[in-house]
Amino acid sequence: MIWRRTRLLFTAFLVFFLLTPTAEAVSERTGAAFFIQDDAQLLSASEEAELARLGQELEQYTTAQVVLKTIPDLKGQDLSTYANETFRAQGIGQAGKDNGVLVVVAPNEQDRNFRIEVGYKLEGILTDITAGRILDKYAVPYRDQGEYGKAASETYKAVVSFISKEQSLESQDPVKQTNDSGLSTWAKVLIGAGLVLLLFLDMKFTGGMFFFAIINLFSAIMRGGGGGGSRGGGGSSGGGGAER
Amino acid sequence: MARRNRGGSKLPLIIGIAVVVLIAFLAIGQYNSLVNVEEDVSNKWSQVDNQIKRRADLIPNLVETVKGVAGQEEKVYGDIAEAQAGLARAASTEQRIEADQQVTSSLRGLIALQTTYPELKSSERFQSLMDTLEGTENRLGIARKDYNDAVTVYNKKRRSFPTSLYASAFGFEKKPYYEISESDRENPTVDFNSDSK
Repeated sequence: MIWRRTRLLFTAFLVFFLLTPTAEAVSERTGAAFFIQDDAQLLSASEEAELARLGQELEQYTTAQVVLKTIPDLKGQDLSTYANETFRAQGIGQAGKDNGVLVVVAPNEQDRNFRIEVGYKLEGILTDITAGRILDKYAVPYRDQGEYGKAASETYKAVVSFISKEQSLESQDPVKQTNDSGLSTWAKVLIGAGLVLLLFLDMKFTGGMFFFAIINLFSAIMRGGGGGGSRGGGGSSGGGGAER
Repeated sequence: MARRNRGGSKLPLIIGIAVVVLIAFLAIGQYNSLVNVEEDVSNKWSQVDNQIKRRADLIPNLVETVKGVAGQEEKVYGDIAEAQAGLARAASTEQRIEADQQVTSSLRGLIALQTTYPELKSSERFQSLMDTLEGTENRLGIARKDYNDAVTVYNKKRRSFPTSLYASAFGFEKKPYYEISESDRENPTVDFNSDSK
């Protein structure tokens, strides 16, 4: 009887823990369709593929992400507000590293239609001044001749090559696989077996008193602690960058 | 008689303890969540304050550069110096918000000078400073928005029942919003390319 109850609870636990990670890993934050979002149709398919390849290579070696977004209509929204909201909504860059850059091109806007939005942790390398100079050099000359596609792709390339040069010192080797817990498989199995034993003894001798006390404590704390963390992951930006 | 009473009084005692423990747990949960949200507010405020300071540090450089070209615009520089002094005096969050708004409006005069003195536009140094200033303004705007969002969450939580019971008992005060006036809503942006387009 006691054993059956324990087993039931245990299965519930397993199901709970096995289900949670899969729920998070749904949205796709990488790949060609993520790096090049040409909504305004400024680029040809081959140009898009070439830029996406550069973006993917950069991510492979530095984990930094550069996204190009072209948009036909901002619907009256401010370019910098739009850029920041898009950056955060898409979570460009790696979570915790905030190493993303978003290049926004809005060809139908009247005065300012190019913006480079820089993630928090890249602000030190890609400063506002640098972002401004990149735009002056690679976007403005082509834009003034009406070549928005060329301006967009040259800017994207310039940002990617700038980051790859600056970041190469930081990570010489391509992305290391981090093994976050230092415990070996055997240690994990032993700890797990110990917990099962404790749970069993608790159920047998005190009717699960400790177990339920801990569960209650957790639920009280969780109820209080929830509410934060709206983003599902990815990097964030605090509005660094420049526009032209 | 006494013995029977003692035997009967055991259950209410247990229930009493259980209720006290339950209330204590609830209070701990509420308290922790308030601390959490309040911490978020002060974290967001420090980001706003960082940008305020960053901008204040930038202004002397900018003024120097502009003075080289437009030395006689005493009123503009006077306004800026006054606003900067006000910011240096401000201590509380409310005072800093107000002083920072003064700085924003005093900068407007400085930025407007480039229409009177076109040679400023072609100065690379001025343009770099303006890029940095503009970036800072933009960061300030975003930090301000994040701060106000955090304040909304905090103030809502603080006022809603039953947290409101604990909030006043634990001394959680209401937090001010960083509101900007209609005239300041428009960022003081500069278009370097208006004549080249």
